Amino acid sequence: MPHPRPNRPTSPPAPRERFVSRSHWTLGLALLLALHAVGPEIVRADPAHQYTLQARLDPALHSVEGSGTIVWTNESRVPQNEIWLHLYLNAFAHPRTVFMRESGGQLRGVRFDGSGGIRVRTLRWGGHDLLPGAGSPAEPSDGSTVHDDDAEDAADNDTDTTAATDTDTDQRDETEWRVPLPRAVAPGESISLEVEWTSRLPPVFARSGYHGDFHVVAQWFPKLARLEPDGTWASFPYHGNGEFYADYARYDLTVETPPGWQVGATGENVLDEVTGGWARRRFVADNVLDTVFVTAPWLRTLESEVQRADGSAIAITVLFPPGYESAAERHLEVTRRGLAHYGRILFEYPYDQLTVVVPPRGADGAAGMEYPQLFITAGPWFQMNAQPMGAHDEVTAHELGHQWFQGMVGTHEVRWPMLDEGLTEWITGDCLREIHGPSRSGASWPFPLDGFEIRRAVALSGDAVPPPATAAYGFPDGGYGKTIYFRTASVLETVARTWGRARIWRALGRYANDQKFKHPVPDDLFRAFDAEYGSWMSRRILRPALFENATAEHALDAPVLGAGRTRVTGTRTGGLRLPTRVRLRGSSGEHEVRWDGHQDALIVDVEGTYEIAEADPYRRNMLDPDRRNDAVALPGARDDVGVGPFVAWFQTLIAWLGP
Amino acid sequence: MRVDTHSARISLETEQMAAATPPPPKRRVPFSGKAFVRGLPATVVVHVIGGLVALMLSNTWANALDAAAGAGPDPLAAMSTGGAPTFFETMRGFSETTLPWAIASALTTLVLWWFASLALQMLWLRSMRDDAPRGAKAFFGSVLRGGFVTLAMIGPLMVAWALLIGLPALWHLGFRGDPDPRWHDYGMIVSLLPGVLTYAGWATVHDLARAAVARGDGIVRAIHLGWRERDAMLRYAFWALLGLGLTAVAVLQGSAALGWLIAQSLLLLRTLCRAAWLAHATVRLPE
Repeated sequence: MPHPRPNRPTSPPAPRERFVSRSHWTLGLALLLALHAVGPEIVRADPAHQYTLQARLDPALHSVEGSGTIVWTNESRVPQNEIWLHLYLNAFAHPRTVFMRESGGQLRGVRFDGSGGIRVRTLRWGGHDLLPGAGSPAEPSDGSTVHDDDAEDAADNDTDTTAATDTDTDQRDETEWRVPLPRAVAPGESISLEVEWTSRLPPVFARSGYHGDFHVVAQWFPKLARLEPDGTWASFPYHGNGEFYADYARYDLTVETPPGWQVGATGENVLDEVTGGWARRRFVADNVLDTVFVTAPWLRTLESEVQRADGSAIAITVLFPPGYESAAERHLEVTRRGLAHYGRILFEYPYDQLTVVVPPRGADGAAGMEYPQLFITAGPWFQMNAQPMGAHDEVTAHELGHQWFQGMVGTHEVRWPMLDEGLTEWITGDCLREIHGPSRSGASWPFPLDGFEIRRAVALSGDAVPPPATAAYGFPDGGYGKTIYFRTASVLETVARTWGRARIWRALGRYANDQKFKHPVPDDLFRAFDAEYGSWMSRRILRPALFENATAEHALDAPVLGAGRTRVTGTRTGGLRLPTRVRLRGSSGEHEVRWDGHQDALIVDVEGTYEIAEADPYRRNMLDPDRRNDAVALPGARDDVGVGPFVAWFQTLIAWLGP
Repeated sequence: MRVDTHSARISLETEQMAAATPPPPKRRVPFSGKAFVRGLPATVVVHVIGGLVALMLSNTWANALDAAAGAGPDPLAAMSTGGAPTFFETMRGFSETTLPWAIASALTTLVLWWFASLALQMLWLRSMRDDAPRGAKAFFGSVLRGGFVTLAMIGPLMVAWALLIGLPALWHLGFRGDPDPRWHDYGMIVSLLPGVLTYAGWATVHDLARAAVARGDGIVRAIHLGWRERDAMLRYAFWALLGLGLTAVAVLQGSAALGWLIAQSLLLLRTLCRAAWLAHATVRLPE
């Protein structure tokens, strides 16, 4: 729906003054900014939400003194008596926060050790101090319940659990705040909040914090939750999986660091000066969901440009530690190729700048994270814990992909993580196919491996888990990664391989273009796919696969030979009917038949003698949990593995063990 | 006459040891070509036996994989095009397949091979000399002494492995703070050196000692002689590195017919490298 027209911010005592007409200079400035904007989709004039923030980093204390104004417009149909704020950094305040309990105090093998938080010192609207009424809810506002191993253990041991209850204010999660307002804000009305705060960064963990001089200042300021059009606040605590959902806004950020420190941030760098012993840099970004900055004194830069189709350029800056030159060049190359690929299948990256940060050794907790116009990738290969070969390319392609999902297609990451991580995971694999080739998109050594084979194997392995259309907090027993990332990607890859890659590019491109700078839900995705394939696509494939974990298992019976004919039967289970091919091989050569998408049973009766039958010989079905029954052969008919590939390896082993 | 000279030299060296005199002046490194040629038949035997054992292991593995893959298509052929059609399913049902048996079988074979290789090495070393004591008794005696040489030198071997694994691990785990990864990488290389040098030294002395027992020396004297000739480490390193390079290229050749032929040629060359070093160890020892 169209947004209400935003207006100049008001203060509570004088609500009538809020509809002040804009002055000519404002209009002129807006026009200038609009002309300056190269990306055609960036709306620079008159944003409904604006953050003007100043941040001074204290590198010794690893803290940030922040101040600024937040202009917020009530874009809903309902007057608002309160606002909700995210105070993300408080996730690291103590071990009992929602984040720490859900994550178990670790993320991707990096264990949290330290603390961090955010203290709001001032929060005013006009002359009204909003702090006295502000506070966090006793329970997460999104209705989520935290699976709590500690509490269960305590209960099992019949011990006192009072110290571990959420109602204890010292142990309460304070990553979201409800702030009552002195009066209601009418639909379409804008207000301006003055805010001052101190952010205390933790040792780098979950992509925020410091490691030595390296500071990732992320999720660091009081940030408004998003108000839905129906007047409900989409607030949530900082969960272990999922954090983004906000309004698109203008972020005008001024960062102060000691002189000589390099800074990368969201937005265009419009000011760079040294005053009063501090280096001040100002970054302005329009139509983004967040702002972040990364700084260290020793960061090196590698700069490049990518041309858009209209001849305009995207400036790419890679910030990296000394000694990471080759890694920086590799990340730059993947970024360039990723921008081209995503631009082709989705839409062109519309902002004028993009910063890629390569974290230093020891800052693994910062690796692999996306923010608007800036993402943090991984370092050289040895820095990647438990990742397969080529993982550094994958991290870069993945975090770059997030610039689209959810950077510019602003889905609710907590409620619909599959629209964020899931879609990004698929375009990542698709991009790596372009870069490395289909057979080497997962690994090149010691043997080539299709990356989607890895995703399929992970997605369909182990115990049953909730389907991809589950909220980020709905995985108390694990399985978030394999479901949200890998299962969603496997579903899309199955569609790509079964009905053609060009069609899924068109479908996903339609979805991305339709929902650019909006806040879509799964139905919007389904509509885009149905428009490309027909209404059966969401009804018969996407919805069952994403909402019900439906699979597409094929199983063949052994060929029956007789009177110069071969009979093969098979069954299909799992809920999804995918059209597939069945290849017969044997004494009479090769013969293929089509197993269409309407029947669960297959009966093939053909002339000739075929001892081997194989369903899905082109590996298009990425949703078959067990491929061992896809192919059957009569005894003695199948290809043997053969000793050839092993002999040299064993000879080598023997030689080095032997005399 | 030759026996008399030999005895006299041993006697002289024993006196020198007892008197703790400075090490003897450097000798001219003898030419080992004759020993290498003399040992060629044994070299071929060793290579063929090793190949047969490798073939047996490969067959066990191929059969196990065939059985584990079920009736599906050749998994390795599919993997060459990036596919892993049943690999992960097979791994999921690992315990129900014959793969655990294949692994146990392979490990057992390798352990047996390691023991058997002692006898093969004695055969190999003795074939390179024309003055080694003849007869089954002398052969088995050398095998027994060769085993004891290894047992006697097990301590330094453990030290070498501890250094080889421990120092890089300590450096890697302890490296903190500096954002420049080059210090980490250089440190890794430097931390590997003590282990590599210790291992190379151990292997040099060990092979020389084995060469000594092959010609009939006692365990203590064999180790002493091996230690005395430790200068041969550079030569050992040369042949070992050349062999390592050859095997590295060989295993990357793949299984195509030409690749297999190249791999076999390279592996044969590696055996010849080993033979060249053992021939040198044989002639290097003072009489």
